Amino acid sequence: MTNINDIISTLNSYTLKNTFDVYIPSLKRDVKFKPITTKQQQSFYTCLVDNIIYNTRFIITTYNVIKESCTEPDIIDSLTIIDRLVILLALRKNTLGSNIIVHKDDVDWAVSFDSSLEYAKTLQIPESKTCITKNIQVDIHVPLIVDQYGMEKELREKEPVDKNVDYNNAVEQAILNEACKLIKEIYVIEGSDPISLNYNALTYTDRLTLIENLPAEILLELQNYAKTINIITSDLLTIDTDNNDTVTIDIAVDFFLDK
Amino acid sequence: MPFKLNAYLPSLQAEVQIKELYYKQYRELVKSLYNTDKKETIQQYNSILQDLCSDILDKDITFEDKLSLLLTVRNYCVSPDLNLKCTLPGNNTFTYTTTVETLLQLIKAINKSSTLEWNGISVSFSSYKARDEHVFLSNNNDIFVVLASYIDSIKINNETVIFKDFTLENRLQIVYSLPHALCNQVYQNILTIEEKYEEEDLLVIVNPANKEPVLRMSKNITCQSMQKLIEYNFTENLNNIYRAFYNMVRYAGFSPEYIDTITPVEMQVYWMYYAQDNEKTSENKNDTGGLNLPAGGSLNSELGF
Repeated sequence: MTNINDIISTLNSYTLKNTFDVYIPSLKRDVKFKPITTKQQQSFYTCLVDNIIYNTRFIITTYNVIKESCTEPDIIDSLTIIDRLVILLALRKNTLGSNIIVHKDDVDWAVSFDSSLEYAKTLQIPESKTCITKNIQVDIHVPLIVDQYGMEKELREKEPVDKNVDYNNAVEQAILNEACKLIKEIYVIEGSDPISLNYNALTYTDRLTLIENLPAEILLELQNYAKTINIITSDLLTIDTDNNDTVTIDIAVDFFLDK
Repeated sequence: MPFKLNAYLPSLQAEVQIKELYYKQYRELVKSLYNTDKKETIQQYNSILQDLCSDILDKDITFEDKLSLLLTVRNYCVSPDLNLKCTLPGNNTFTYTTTVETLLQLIKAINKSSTLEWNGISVSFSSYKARDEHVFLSNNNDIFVVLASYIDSIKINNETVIFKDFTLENRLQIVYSLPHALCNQVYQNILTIEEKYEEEDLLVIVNPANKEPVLRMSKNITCQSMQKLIEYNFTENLNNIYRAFYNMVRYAGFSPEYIDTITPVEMQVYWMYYAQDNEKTSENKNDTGGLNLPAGGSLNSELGF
């Protein structure tokens, strides 16, 4: 073979034949994924220098990797951030294996995350929820990766990564950002019919502005819902060690660079 | 028909034939080491090697192959001896002497070639390719560039992709399209081979006073170590190179065209004959017309050998 396009095409066909199953909790079924290519792996190196609060580059990169590797493009926009973690665990296992070193209390623990992938098959994605306060109705759901990606792309991709961080302001912004992703739709109740504000049609900047003006009770509901999600992700990423302790996997760029 | 020498390509474990290195080419090799643009120096060496050895035109020779070819012509056409002047802190100096043949035999024994089978894909690799040398000048350790240079061929679905047919850019495209799990395994194999050769000595120079090593080069040939070895074997005072040429034409009466078609070592032989004749016919050995004639049988530093 001497034509570069033919070679790339042959390699793409090869990867299609070597797909592997990943159980997607939100769909409650397996979806086939292609193995990570070297180009995708290389893209992780660009995340070594990243926004320390939002991991902007890592989120954008992992979204692109998931989108390129998934053999069912139609499901991408419905994948949740919990699905994302499961997919990243599976992609990592397929590429570099499931053994990792986790650093805890100045000790390096060699563990396998096979148990996390097994646990993923049993976990339940929290149902969507509706909160009504005064004349505002907010539908909330487990954040979607498309919003996680879209927000980083729109708000922070072009920001310099070495920007000085005002931590007080950053924490406040981080809470609003999380809230923004949790919201599925906002309605204003006038009379008997809720009127949709077309939340998803807004830019992320406008969504944040809108959230800043929501009643405080809604924000509390959002925080409680977020806690439920955090418990699930924490359980997913927590692994038992040999000495009856537990460690938690940090799914950051190192997860794809270390063996 | 030009006289040819047998040379060895370690990556292919095969012999090739190489023409003698003429004085003109030797002069160009020495001169190019003075060039501050190292990429041009590399191109000059590669170009001369291609002129000397047509057998490599259809091959993607490695760093080790290139050294083997250069040391072969250095050994037979310039001098079999390698004298390295070492300067210690405090400006004490000593000369380390070895033979080019010793280095050559060690280089010939380097075999980094291997094949990895992975889920129906077969990847054959050998070593860094000489044509990529300029890419590694700046100590480029990019894993994907290393793989693009190391890999010789990929066999997939009974189709074989021969890497020598592609530019580095295209080879990188192919590497980027490979499953990373495969690339990772190939790279781990390369690291294991390199670590093995890193442990083995190629050239060790010890301080004669305290027996401490002052220089060590391993058999893990990198761009930097290859550059050093070429410098050690082909650095020569340019004045000597030109003066020797001048003497042969001006005093020994050889035509410039002919001088450029003989090897440096042949030129040295002719100069010795000339000097011996001169000694016999001259009544006054000190009256040499300004020539710094060598003593019979000894080498002349002006010839640069």
